[in-house]
Amino acid sequence: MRIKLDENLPASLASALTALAHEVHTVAEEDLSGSKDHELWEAAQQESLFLITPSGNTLWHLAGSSTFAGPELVDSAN
Amino acid sequence: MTTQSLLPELEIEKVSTPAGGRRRTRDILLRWLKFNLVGGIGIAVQFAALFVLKGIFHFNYLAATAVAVEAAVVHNFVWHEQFTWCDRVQASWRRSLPRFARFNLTTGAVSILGNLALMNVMVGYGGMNYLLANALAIALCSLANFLVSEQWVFEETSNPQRYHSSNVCNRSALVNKYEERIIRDPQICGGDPVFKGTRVTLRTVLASLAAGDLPEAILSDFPALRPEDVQAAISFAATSAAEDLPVAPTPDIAHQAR
Repeated sequence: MRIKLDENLPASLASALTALAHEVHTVAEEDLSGSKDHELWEAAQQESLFLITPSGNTLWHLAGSSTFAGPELVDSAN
Repeated sequence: MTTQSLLPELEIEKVSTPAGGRRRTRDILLRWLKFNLVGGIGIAVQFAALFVLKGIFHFNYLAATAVAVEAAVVHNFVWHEQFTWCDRVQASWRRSLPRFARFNLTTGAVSILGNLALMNVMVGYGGMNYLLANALAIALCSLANFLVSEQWVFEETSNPQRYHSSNVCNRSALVNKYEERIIRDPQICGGDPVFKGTRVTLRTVLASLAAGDLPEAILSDFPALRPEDVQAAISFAATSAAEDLPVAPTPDIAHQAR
């Protein structure tokens, strides 16, 4: 699976996922530190990556914006 | 971690409990006492300034009165900013000058117009003794000045870049530390408090600390953080606990059934 990990997830998770043969892109590597929600989302979209974030507020913010379309919103907490 | 945040829950607890209501009443009473203390010292400042200007430097008595009143107003303003409402406002030239203009304008207008109107009603229509009426008018105008200051002059700053904990004065180094490092931007993590220049939320760091992670482990897990960010998270928690210790949420029936 090709994944973009939000900055709010630990680096140890990135290495654990890499060890499981996933392709992991992190925010820090791609100079997206401190970026806005939609910038991160658009970067993930351009590279066709799954975006994983632990921040519910990020999801709700994106879900309410016009650039966010489709059923990809997966809320693991529910 | 659930999507429901820890912090909003704590804030709801603060606001909605009966203890929160009592606390609010107590806070207003305390502020009212501070306000009157400052006002009382202000009167002394006015007398002293009048005495120095008229008695020693032989100013014209009206000019001396005007300067003395303004000295008292400045005195009161500085103390209200640094003491009475210190938990709400931060002194800075950019913010304090317009605030001072509001204070000067409202206290002046309320005192002069309020005294005239009340005297007119109580003495003119009510036939009350003018000294008693004036004492009442002064008390009522003081209350009115307090309310105007509370609601308008020292209203809570709505600076979205800073995340404030309520009811704590901002003078300690600890508090400044977290306010420099923790920001809220509706475009970043949907407005969750995050550390400046990162997408790492305050909640994540607090949860890691609560889970027993050492600061070094947190810094290696979130390389964008600086060492002072972990300190800022602790400062925030300390500040939150300093006055309004949050009531632990009670489990509801839905949780127990699960």
